[in-house]
Amino acid sequence: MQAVLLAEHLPAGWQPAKLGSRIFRQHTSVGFAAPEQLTTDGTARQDRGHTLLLLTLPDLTPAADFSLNQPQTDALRIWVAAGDSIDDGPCVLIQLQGVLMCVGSSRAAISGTPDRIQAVSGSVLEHCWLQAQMLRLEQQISERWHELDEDTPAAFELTEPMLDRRQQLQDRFRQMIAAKALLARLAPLIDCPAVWPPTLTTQAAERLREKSRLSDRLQFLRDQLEVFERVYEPCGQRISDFLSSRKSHTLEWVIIVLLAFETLLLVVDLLSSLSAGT
Amino acid sequence: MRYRSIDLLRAYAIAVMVMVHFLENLSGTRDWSPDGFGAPIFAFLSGVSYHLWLASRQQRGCSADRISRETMRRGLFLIGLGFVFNALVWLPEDLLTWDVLTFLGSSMLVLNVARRMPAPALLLTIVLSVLLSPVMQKLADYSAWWLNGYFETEQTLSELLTGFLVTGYFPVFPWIALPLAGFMSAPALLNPQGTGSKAGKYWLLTCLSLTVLVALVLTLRWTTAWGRLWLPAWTMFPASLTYMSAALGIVVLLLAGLHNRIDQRQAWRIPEWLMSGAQRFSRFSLSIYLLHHVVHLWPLWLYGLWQTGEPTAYWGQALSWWPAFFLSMLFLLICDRLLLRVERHRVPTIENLLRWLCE
Repeated sequence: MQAVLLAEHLPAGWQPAKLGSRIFRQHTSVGFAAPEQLTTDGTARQDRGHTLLLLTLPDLTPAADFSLNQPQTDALRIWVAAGDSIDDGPCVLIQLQGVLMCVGSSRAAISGTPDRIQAVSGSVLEHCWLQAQMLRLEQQISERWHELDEDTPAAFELTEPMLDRRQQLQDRFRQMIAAKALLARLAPLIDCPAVWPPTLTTQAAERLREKSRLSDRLQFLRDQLEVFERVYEPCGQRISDFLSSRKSHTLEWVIIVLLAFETLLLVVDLLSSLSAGT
Repeated sequence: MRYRSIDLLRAYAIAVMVMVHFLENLSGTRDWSPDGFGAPIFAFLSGVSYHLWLASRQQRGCSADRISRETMRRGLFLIGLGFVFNALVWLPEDLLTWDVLTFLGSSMLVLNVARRMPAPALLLTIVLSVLLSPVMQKLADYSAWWLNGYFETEQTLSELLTGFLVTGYFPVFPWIALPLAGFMSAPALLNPQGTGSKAGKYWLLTCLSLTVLVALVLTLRWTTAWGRLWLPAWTMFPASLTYMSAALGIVVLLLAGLHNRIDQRQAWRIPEWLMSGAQRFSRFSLSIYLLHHVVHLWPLWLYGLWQTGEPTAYWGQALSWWPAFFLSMLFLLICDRLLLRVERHRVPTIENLLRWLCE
């Protein structure tokens, strides 16, 4: 994933390597582009694939005069919302200590004095990324419910025809574990306690998390993934047991067949001696 | 679903059987007979049909118990019919000669067990029943039961069992290998991918190798002195190792080839009259099997009884080969017309009785 800072000039002291948490930095690379790269329809050349765009507007309106009804604010909101899909929900708009932050799942805009922009930009980018990850997970799970219905019988009893779907069940189990792993890695960023003493950076992050209900959504995702886990884990166990018992079953049958043929040879021998006697 | 390839093969098998029986029973000649590839094809296809029947039952959600009961009923019906057929057509002294009907009934009972067996165990059963049959024939002294060129038995339990297992016309061993092979290979040969599947390729390769090996063995046997001593001969009674291997190989290759060319790619256009005739012959194969015996044997017995007082006096020596051959062709033609009427007027046949009693 790439995060692109759209700004006239790089903010003083801008250090991409120190932005956000470690996991955020592991998954994203932060770049810089001038706002002129925005095209007339509001997109940017970098605005494709998994790109987070952060638009900084240090010279908008003085912090004290911000109002949600101002046309500039609406314009920001429209630009941010344009990067979201229908399922992403409304973008979050927060005004905090003279900074206006408008955050969606792939775009964000900050307006305020340069030093404040610099203070909150890490939190905004990280939130934007968190929001995108959560949305992706939510979407992934919502698309999988019908698969779960289809696979639930295999968690109770596995039959021979179901073995053909072994690879499919394995893939679904792997996807479920990958989702759980991602969720486990995101959880410390979402469930982290408030930092003391509070700074503009930490407060911005907390407010953004609150507004997006990330903590509740995290819990919902955990509950949902638990349901998937309760199906796919026994499926794996059942497949493994089934294959193991099939091997021993085959061996038993092979022994039975060998013994049957041995008995048959004895019977034919016995019958021929009886026939010769008569 | 009906496979045109299976219908064609079964029709061919029944037509060959009719021809062979007319020639053997009326003229006593075996030179003209295509050495009975009819029976192996018929036996192999019984396994293939059982697989298709089983799949359709399972699709309809029939319980394993019900499938078992129906299979057993079918098997017992065929065994019973075989005995009645032997008594009425081959006369009561040949009641227990273990002909093809009793064999098909027994194979149905075996298939009922085989369908529960894992593939490796089933394969082992097929291989052992082919490989150990010469040993069993040796143990049972096969030739002693066929002194006059046909199977003779006393009505004692030990002889009946020996006849049923090894020495009869169509004993369980080695013939059981064919229905089992049909049942086992059907999913690989008839699957939507055709023989392109991994299992299909294995079957084709194995059967091709078997056929080539048999051809090599027979060539060596006919061309070398040591081959005549040490290599297995080509005989149907008893079904020798070479005969069974070749039968298995050729039948699998035939079914795979026809299925590929006719059912899947539709590369071979079969004339409609031929195809509808083949489908009729396939559908009423059991009736044809019974009818053709009645048609040519009963007059033979009656004529013998009238002329000499011994019904079997003219068996194998009533006609020379060409009238017998002509009669077999005439029978096939009349039979086709007859079956057309049976189909049109929905006259009950033995197949209907089988379904009515067993399903």
